[in-house]
Amino acid sequence: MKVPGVVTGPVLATMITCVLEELENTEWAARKAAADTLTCMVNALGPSLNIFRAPCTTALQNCRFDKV
Amino acid sequence: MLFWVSECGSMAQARVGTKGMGRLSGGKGVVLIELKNRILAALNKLSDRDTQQLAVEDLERLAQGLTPEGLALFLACLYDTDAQQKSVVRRECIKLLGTLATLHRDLLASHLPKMVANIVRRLKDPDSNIRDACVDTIGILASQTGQGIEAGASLNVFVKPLFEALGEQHRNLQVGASLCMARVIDCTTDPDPPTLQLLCPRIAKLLGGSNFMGRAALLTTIASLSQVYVVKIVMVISKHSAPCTIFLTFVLPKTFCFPLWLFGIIQ
Repeated sequence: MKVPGVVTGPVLATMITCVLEELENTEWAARKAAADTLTCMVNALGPSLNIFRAPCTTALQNCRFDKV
Repeated sequence: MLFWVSECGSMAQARVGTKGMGRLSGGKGVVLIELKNRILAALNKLSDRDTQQLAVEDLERLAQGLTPEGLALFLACLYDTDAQQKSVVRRECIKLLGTLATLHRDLLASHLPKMVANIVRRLKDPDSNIRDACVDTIGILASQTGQGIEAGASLNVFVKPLFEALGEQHRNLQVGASLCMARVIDCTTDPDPPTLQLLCPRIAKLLGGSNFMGRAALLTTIASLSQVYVVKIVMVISKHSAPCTIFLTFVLPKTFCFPLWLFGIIQ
């Protein structure tokens, strides 16, 4: 199932990769913003992110011990 | 106080004057010169703390009864304020652009590119107050711009100069332009999907570059982008539910549409 929105398909893939890369940024502000953005995207796009679940969880696991 | 009363009096005269002398070519110029003097006087008064409030009221009153020529003149005066002015003056000038946009929606289209260019230039300002005012104002402009003849044209007016700004190596400018972009996407009345989708690879490219300084701010743009449809659908439904539900039935997959359709009926 696809949720229609502006960000779908290949565009969504690029955006997600971008956000996940930023999660590993050395700058704290960027990591925080990336996490917030990911929350927004999940809330807004929901089920269409299913295919990206695996890389997302690994990326989030990697920054589990980051300061909030 | 006496000064203020006399100002009001002469302003009323000027407004009557524009109507009366509209047919005379010479008279019109005189009225415009008078208007310009009044605007410049009010802008000067802004820089003094004692007369500041008075000047803001004056400028807002002047902004209300403007002819098309008057509007062009007013805008030209606002563009002219430079970095030498006090920060209050600079901030009020930016805010006035928003006020003018809300008051003169129908005349806005031809002035828009210049207004946006002016706001983007001000994003370099070292004072964060002014940069915040820029972001707010560009949101007001985006919400006041109607749909253009071409799809996405009204969005491109904002997006083009903002991307140019993002390409420059200037920290404040990059952060400000990113925030502006997010605000424009949030506020626009014409969220044209193809135009918005074109933004995505460009944003990805910027984030991929190693010396981009507004990362955190640009990520909020992605958040705004991904929220576009969800927000807009709810807005449209609450405005006119019946035609919108029909539209949604054809455009959206059934699984997603059914609850929305129910929602439309309930509304």
